[in-house]
Amino acid sequence: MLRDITIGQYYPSGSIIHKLDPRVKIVSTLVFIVLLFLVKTFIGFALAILFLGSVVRLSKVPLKFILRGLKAIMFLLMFTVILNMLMTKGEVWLRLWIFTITKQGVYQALFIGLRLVLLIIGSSLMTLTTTPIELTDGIERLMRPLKKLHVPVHDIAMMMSIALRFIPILLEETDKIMKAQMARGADFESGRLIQRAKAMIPILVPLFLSAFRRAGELATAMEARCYRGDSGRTRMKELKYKKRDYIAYLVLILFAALLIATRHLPDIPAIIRSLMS
Amino acid sequence: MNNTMVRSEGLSFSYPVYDDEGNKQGVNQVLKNVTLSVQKGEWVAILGHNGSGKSTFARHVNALLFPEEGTLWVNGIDTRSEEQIWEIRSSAGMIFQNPDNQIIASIVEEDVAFGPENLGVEPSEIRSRVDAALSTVNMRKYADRDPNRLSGGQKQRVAIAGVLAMKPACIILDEPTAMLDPSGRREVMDTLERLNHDEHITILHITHYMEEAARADRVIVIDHGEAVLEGTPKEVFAQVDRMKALGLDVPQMTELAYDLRKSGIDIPADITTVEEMVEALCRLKSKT
Amino acid sequence: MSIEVKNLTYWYDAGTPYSKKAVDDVSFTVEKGEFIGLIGHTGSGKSTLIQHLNGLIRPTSGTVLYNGTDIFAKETDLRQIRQKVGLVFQYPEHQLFEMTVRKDVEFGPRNLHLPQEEIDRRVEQALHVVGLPESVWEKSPFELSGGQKRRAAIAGVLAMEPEYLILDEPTAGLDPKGRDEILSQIESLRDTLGLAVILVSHSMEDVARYVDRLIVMAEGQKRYDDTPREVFTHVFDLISIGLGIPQITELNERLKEHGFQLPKTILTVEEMRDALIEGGQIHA
Repeated sequence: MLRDITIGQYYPSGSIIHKLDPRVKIVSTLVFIVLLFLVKTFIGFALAILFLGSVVRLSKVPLKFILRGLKAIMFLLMFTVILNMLMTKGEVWLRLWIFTITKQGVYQALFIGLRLVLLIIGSSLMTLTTTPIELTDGIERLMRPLKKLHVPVHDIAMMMSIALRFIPILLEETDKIMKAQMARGADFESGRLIQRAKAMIPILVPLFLSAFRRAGELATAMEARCYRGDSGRTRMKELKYKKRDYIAYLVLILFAALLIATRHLPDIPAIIRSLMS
Repeated sequence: MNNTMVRSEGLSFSYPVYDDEGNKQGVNQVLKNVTLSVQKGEWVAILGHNGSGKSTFARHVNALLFPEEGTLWVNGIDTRSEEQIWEIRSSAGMIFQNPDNQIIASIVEEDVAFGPENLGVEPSEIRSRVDAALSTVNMRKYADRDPNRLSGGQKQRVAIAGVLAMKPACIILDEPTAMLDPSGRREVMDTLERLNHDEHITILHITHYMEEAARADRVIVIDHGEAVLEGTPKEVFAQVDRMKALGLDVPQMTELAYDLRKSGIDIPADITTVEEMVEALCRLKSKT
Repeated sequence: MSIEVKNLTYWYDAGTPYSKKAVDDVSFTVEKGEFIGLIGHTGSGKSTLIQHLNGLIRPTSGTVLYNGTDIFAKETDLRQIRQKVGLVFQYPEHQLFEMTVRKDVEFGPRNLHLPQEEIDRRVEQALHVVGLPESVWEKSPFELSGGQKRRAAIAGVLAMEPEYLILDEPTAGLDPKGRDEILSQIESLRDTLGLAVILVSHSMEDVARYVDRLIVMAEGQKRYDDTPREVFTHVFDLISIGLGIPQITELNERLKEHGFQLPKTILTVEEMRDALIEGGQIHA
């Protein structure tokens, strides 16, 4: 039942993108998202698509798998696109009943749609090629400067990694408790809202108790293995940039520079217009 | 003294009991005047029914709990000396019943590294300790796996490796096989045997399974917080009536020997294994 | 009156890279009043199999018939099936949730929308049957000892008044005394209430002593389905599929190798004693 929910999907293919340092992937994803909002021209979008396409290719994750992530937000995407198309004022192209479609509206809708699609593919590519634990490590390292500001970086990272370990266990447990209560005639599907909320009590109480029990036992086990927070703690695997990571950063800088440059180039429609005249 | 791994003298411990309003009603005396010692390199099984206080004792050895009365020394250190608590916890590692609730990381080798990381060991040294510990428990192949996808026996062996990576002199196991199936149980028992024989690690093994206790050098039975029986497995199990009165079992072979003796057959009372029984019966048969 | 499992196959995580055949073409019939042991090591498919018997899991192919009706057919009311086929999960005390033991046991009958007197009757009977004294009925289930909690949880299923009772590892984590208590209670349930019982276990000692019929699962398939006595003749095969055999059964094999005249299989210590003495194998 709850097995179908997958959190932070990871697709193991062992590609070069998978092997990159997680920090490279986190930084690149953030930079890519920011850049997407700077793109204003068709050439810029072509460049972004080319860039992302090459990364997808390198990652060896099947395109079909990536596009599956889009399906979930299709409705939201269409809604945004159509709204933008109808609400933007400008040079009128078409009038239909009470709707007016303008040139600016079509451009706007197209750009917004492309931006969203690229944004989603880009960020899901990060989770598809990085294990949750690498992500946690990467975030911890990137946030380390914040420690000086008394942000409990280590504790946050530890909580994240423990959550990652126990989410599947608790999901399985929820499934089991639900089945056990169903075996006692519980009904989770019918009834009004209040009845349904009430029907959750036989699941939630045991689930919370179990989570607390596990938390207690885990805390004891951590103490028994000499855990005492951040003080004096070393790491077996310190994240270290390799040659390929520097190359990746270089590629990113190059791409960013090119993309920003396109803002100052005339756009394709402008070129066509100048050729026609 | 130098050869003693764990020594307790007059160890007592109790939990306060509260009534519904949260007022202290009285105390639940969990351990009463426990005096015992475990030699270095020994394998000691601790038996007792649920609630007998055996887990509470185990938690004292790992300095998770502290004696109310009496004293407990681990490797010569009084567990109440706070500044040496990490030394105690790393020299007397602890394994718990539920394998899921003692694995912290989502990758096997990172979990094994957790202990030495906490102790501030050099990264390269951690690496070699992790590899060695995983080899000792035969889990090297699974170093980069997700613990959630391992069997119970494998998870428990990962937990043992996690303790081994702290280079302990002693391991305390609190019913490590209670949640495992027979093959998982066998994996864990074989691992313990290797640790004890090859690595000379002292083992304190709390269990409900008499066949497991029969593999120890010495058995201590705890009942209502007191150490009531102690001796080699043979000496302890031979007291079939006493064991049953304490709510415990004896291995089937010991029970058979006991039954045969009651029927007037002259067979040793302290048989615990199938081999010994076969031998004893063959001797009887050739006589007739 | 029977539960009939017909060519049941179940694929776990179908359609994902982790998909695995958990149950592979299994068929058997459970008659009323039978006491069956279902054994197999972890991952043999036994836990998945039993969840089909009351419709908690839908088979990939094959089906389950309850008194001849397909429980997975559209018009079958699964809730009725779940009332008739009681399932006690492993560590059932982890599903307790109510303020008092009595209220928790009431949960099942209340879901059946029975009148209050009937609910009370069933709850009290179930609590008596599992041997929980009246003094704890109004207590919070979380105040009970481990063994008592488990018995309260079993009462919660018994109060549904099932005709078939399936228990998944009911003795897991209990000490020897607790183990014996639960098992003899289950045996008396069968005798007094006429229930059919399926006991899922990996303890050969437990099943050898209590059940009339033994189903052995290995790698999703049914390997044996016979009396324990017959099944235990396959000593080496049982060991090879990761199941332990009772020490006493092993002893029997070993003694026969040494020329003792003994029965084909021996399941308990008493049997062995009698076989040795009354069989004239050894003398006082």
